Amino acid sequence: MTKVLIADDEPSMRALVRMTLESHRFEILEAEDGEHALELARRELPDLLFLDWTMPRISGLDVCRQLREEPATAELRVVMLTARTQQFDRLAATAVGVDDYITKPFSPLRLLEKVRETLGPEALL
Amino acid sequence: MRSVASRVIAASVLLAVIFIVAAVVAVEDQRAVAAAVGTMVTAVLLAAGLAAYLIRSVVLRSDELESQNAINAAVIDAVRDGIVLRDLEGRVVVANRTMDTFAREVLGVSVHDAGAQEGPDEDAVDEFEDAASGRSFHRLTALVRDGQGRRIGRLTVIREVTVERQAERAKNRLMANVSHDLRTPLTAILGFTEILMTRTGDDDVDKTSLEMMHSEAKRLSSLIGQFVDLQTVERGSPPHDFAPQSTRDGIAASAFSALIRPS
Repeated sequence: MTKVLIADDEPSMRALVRMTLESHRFEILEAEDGEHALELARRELPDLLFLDWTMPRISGLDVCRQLREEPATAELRVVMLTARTQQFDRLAATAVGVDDYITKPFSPLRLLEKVRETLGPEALL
Repeated sequence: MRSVASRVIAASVLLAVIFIVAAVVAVEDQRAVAAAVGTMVTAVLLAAGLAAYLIRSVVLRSDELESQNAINAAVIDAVRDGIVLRDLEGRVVVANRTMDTFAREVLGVSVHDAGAQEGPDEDAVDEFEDAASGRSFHRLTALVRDGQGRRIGRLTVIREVTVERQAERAKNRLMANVSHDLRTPLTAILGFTEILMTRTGDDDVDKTSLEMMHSEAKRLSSLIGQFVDLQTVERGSPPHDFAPQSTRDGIAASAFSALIRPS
């Protein structure tokens, strides 16, 4: 089963992403801060990581940077899901190696499309 | 000096008059030698008087210049901008007290010992920050030319804008935080209503309510976007990218607003 990790300190954001993906066959994992996100990503090696930027302890940006440095997680698919909308934020995220950048507010349907694009149509079965 | 010159003039004129009278009397008495001596002395005295008069005018003019200089210095010292005019060799021609204070605080030496600082070599307005102290300065540079258009020096006027820049940075931070914090709850409202819209059956009331909630939340989101854009444009960096809103949504939103607004 396709594993998706949602890292966001806002419970409502985790619930929204979970509900968006719910009708499809995903194993959904949740992390409420950057430290937990790193730990889960290393242990569970999810197929996709939705990563908030502004989180307690370790920021999403640093989480991505660290994952890219470790061989086991270097290829992990990371989609930044953030309320930071400035062009230079997007550039900074690209610089640390995020695969995609979605700004809040986002449309759940659009998010689902993004999952399909990233993981292939069979992931949504 | 001025009063001495005046006394010399008065004395010379007085003595000259006396000797002229004496010479005239001598001529009438046919005493030629006395007349000649009287005339010579008169001439010398008149020359001395003229010399004293000339000295007096020069002294007067330099006194005037001195007080004019004092006025100029007082005026430019009273300005809170730092002003310095340097010649082509970088020597200070004029500098005011504020510039000297800036030089002492930032460079640790008086403006006269500081030497010409790096700066634009043309008429320009720019801003620079002193890395060590973190102080910001607005700078105006103007090339000074003589009557024939030859370059004779460079005028620099600087104004400290540290407090202004700090306030601006604080405002930008606040703006970024506010925009970030408003977006998160909005994302939840927009997202959940969108999910519910795809799940509701044929119940018209539910569907209409959800659509209105959704379009109004979208409008709020677009307002926040515009607000942040305005701040960003003011700041001079490119506006953020924001998901395009379809015209249909826009029309639906205004139609809805027209409905709820009391006429």
